[in-house]
Parts: sequence; C-alpha cells; structure tokens
Amino acid sequence: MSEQLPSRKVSRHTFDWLEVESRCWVERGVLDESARTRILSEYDTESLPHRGTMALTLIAVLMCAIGILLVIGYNWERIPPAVKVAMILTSVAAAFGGAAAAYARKRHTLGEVLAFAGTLLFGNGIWLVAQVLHIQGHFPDAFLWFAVGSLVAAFLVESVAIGVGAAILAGVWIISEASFYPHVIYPFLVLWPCAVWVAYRLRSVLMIRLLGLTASLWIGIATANEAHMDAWPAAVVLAGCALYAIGRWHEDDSDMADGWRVSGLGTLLLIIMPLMVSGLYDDIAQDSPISTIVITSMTALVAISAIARSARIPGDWAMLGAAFVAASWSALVWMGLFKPGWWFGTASTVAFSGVSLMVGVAFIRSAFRSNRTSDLVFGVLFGLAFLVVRWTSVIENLLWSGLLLLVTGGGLLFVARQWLRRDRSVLVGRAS
Amino acid sequence: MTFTNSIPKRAVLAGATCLLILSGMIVGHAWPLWTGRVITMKVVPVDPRDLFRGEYVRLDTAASQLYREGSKMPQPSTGSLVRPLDRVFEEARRGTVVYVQLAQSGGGDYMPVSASLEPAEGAINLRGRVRYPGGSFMPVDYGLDAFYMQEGKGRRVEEAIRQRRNVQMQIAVASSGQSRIKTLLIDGVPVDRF
Repeated sequence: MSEQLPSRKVSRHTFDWLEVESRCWVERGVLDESARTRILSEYDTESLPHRGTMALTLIAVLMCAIGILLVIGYNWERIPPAVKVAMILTSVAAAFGGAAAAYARKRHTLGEVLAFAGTLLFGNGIWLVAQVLHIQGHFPDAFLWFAVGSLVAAFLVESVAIGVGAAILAGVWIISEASFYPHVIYPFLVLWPCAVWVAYRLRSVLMIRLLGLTASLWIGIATANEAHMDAWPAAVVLAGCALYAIGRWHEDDSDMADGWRVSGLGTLLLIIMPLMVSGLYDDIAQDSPISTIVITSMTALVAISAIARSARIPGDWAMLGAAFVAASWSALVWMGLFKPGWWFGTASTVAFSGVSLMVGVAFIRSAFRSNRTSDLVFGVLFGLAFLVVRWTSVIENLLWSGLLLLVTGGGLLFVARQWLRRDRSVLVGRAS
Repeated sequence: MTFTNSIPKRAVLAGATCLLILSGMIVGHAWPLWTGRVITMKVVPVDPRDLFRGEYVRLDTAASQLYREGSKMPQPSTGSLVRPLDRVFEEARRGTVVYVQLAQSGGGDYMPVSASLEPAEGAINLRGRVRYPGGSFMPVDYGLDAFYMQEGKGRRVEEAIRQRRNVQMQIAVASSGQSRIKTLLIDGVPVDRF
C-alpha cells in the first residue's frame, strides 16, 4: 500500500544541487527518469521564504525600528505628548493591521515581517510612554512587558522570528533585574512555561536553547547571595543537568531534545570553569535562605529524574554523575559538614575538576556512539576547560606547563584522527 | 486552538494585545496627572543620558532620603528628618511601600514631615518604595527621579543649576499617594519654555 508522504522542505540551494546531481545519475544509468521525478517530488522549496531576502528584510525592519526609537529619543518638544502617544499607538496598529491584510492575501512572509515590525514598534512604545510620562522607575519591567507582548504575538501569528525575539527579551529582562540585586524573580515562573509552550507549538529549537539558558540564569540569580553577590554554584550546575535531563525525556533524535541538551551542556560549561578555581569557595555563603534550598532541591530532582530513563550514551551517565556531585556538595554545605577553609576549597575544586574531566571524556566517547558532532564539540570543550584551568595553576612552572600542553595537543590529535577514521568507515558502510 | 484558526484574525489579536499593554501602561501611569493635586518640591538635578529614552535630568528631592527624627546620623543636603508615625523605620525592608506626609514650607515648596507604613488621614501622602533599609536612614524611590527633555536642553538646565538658580519640580499627587512629574520649573518658568 503506497501512502502519499508529506513533502520535506529543503533549502533552495540543496534542492538545486539534488536536481543537477540526479540528472547526472540518470545519465550514468544509476537512476531512471521516473525514479528521479519521484525523488524530486519528495522535496519542496516553493513554500520556503527566500532566506536571504527574509534576513535582509528583517535587518531593514530592525534598523527602521531603531531609527524610530532614536527619533523618539530626540524628544522633539514641538510634538505634544498626546500626539507622540497617538503616533506610536497608530504605528503599532498599522503594522499589525498590515500584517493581517498580508496574511489574508496569503503573503505570509510579508505578514510575518510586518508583525515583527509591530512588536518592535510596541517595544519602542513602552520606552516612549516612559519618556512622555517621565517614568524612570524599575526599568526591567519594560523588558518584561516587551517580552510578554512579543510572546503573545509569536504564538498568535506563529512566527519563529518573533518567538526568538521574545526569548532573547526574557533573557535581557532577567539580566536587567539582576543588575539591581539578586533575588527570586517570581513572574518568571509564569512567563517561562508559557514561552516553552509557545516554543513547542512553533517547533523552534533556537527558542528552546535560549529559554534553557535563561532558566539557568534565573536559577543563578534566584539562588545568589545578596551579601556575597555570587550565585549558588551547585544550583547552576544542577540547572545544566536538569536541562539535559529534560532533553532525555524526549525521543533521542528529536530536534527539541537537542535544544534542551545543548542548553544544558552550555550552562554546565559556563559554570564549571570558575568552579575549578579554589578562590571561589572563600566567599561561598554557608547560611542559604529557604528559597535557595527549595530552588536547588527542585532543580536537583529534575536533574536526577533522568535516572528513570536508561542511559544510551556515556554522556548520559556523566551528566547524572555531575548532578549527584552538585547535589551532594550542596547537602554537605547545608548540613554544616563543609566549612570555609583549605579543605573545603581543595575538595570542592577537585570534585568539580573531576566533573569537568568526566563530562569531557564521556562526551568524546559518546560522539563515537551517537554520531552527533555536538557531543564531540562539548566533549572537547569540557576537556579543554579542565586543561586550561589546571594549566593556569602550573603556569609558572615551564616544565609542567610544557608537558600539559603537549599532552593536550596529543590528545586532541588522537581524537581528531579517531573521528576521521570513524567518518571514513561510516562512508564506506553507506557505500556498501 | 478553538478561538480562531484564521491567521489574519490572530494578527489583529496580537496587535490588540500590544495596544492593550501600552494603554494599560499609559492609564496606570498618567492617572495621578489626571486626578492628582499639584504641588511643587525643590529638587537637586544632575544630567545623565538614557540609551533608550534620550536626554534626561536625574532628580533628587528632599524626600529621596529620610532620616528618623532625633537620629544622630549626618544629614546630606538632599535628605530630610521625618517623624515616624508607626514602626516604619523598624519594619521597612527592600521594596516595602511607605507613605511620606508632605507639608508646605515657608517658601511654598512641600517638604516631608513624617513617614508611615499606611497613608495618614487628611495629609498629602507621597507613596514610595524603600530602596534598602538602614535603621534610622531610608532611601525611598517615588518614580520621580527623572525628567526627560529634548536633546541638547540638558546642558542648558545643567548650566542653570551651576548658576544656583531655583529649580523646582511640579508634581501631581493622587489620593492613593501615586505621583507623577508634571514639569520642571527653573526660576518659576516651565522647562519647555526655558
């Protein structure tokens, strides 16, 4: 029984290549003309917007929006405040009205560009209202409302570009909130799940990656100690492991799983470097507020939830191991068994250096099993992070320095050679 | 989704949501300007620049920093001694809403005289949030700390300040204590005509 499969979308460049190559295959007798036609009909480029034109249009819209912002920023006094407000409201209405008209005429690319412009003008409007009414106030709120409006627009017009913008704005909002003082930003607990839901509806991996990193940022700020101004490091390690764990709850080859995995590994990579330096532990607060304990524990639960899924690659075990190390470290500190001092600093440095090395080696091994280049990249980056930080501790000793660099270089060459051999064997296997 | 699958309708809805948020901001923040009582306060400005909103004068008033009456802390030029009407100095935390009662001074400007956790009956209450508590000292944010103006005018205002001319802020205070800046006065002349 033959079933009509939906055509797969490929870029115009790939389609053009396939068209030329398949003609050669027909000429060489590898393929007959009817098979070629069937293969080509499997792919579709017609409905794809022309990416280059789309990118240029979006940049143009972005520049126009910034231009409007600067003109507004000039604050021409001859324009009465009411007229300024009317101008911005009208421009937002016109942009979305234009988008609706374009969508009605089936011009989806133009509709999306106009909706994107509408959200930018909406953001401008927030700053203009603040200017007209002389509001300095709590400026991160402007980013929050900008993100909320963008997210609603992304969901309604099903635009990935607006959705990615909303995810970036959510990150900017968290960073700007942190510029005041570290605290638990409660509205994030509502915004973030909504944003993740929109990302799933739009099937946007980039949105998931950005939202994953934003969640880690939120956890870092929510668990930071105001007096010491440093994030509760174990919570951020657990955040990375939790994001990876969420990825493991998906089908292995799904794009969304990759989005979560990459944001989790990215988070862990960013936090692991300072954790390998013993000086950090001199300033770790021992008396954590209840909010820090709750958030860290919840994050640990999500991270360790991955144990319910059978590990498929060594990297899965390594991330579970990292979560156990971070959770145990937190528990020991909270129970008062770890006190600031030489032992605390040294033991913590050794533990997290071990985590970096373990994750690095595990993901390099995983790459050979999963065939994912991202696993190899992260494996190498974790390994390099470990070596670079440890190198700085022996940098004054030229002999040790030189030996460490030789070992690193040799290791990287070995990995590169193995990867190349694996690539060749895969190609030979496919050809046979 | 059940409400509509039509993308054009959804685009209109997206625009309506954005306009609703903007309108909410406008109404919420302009309410004291429409309904409030207009008073003037003396201000001490400095002139930074805002990346998104252009040139503005940052303003400090006598209510920006409150000191408990009778405290021995050195009082800077922008602060005021106030009488606590309740346990405001003891219970204030970062972000706590406080009310500062204003009274007209001999020069016509309004000055803080007391502070409380609840608005005082029959008084002009200025609503603010504590920036950080400091025992007998309390910096408070009222949302009255910036006045935006046309690019280039900031320097002229700065020059006027350097010449020690009388700079006042005209504000509207709603019955809820919410306040907004109406205009900035230099020697009694509104800054847009300055």
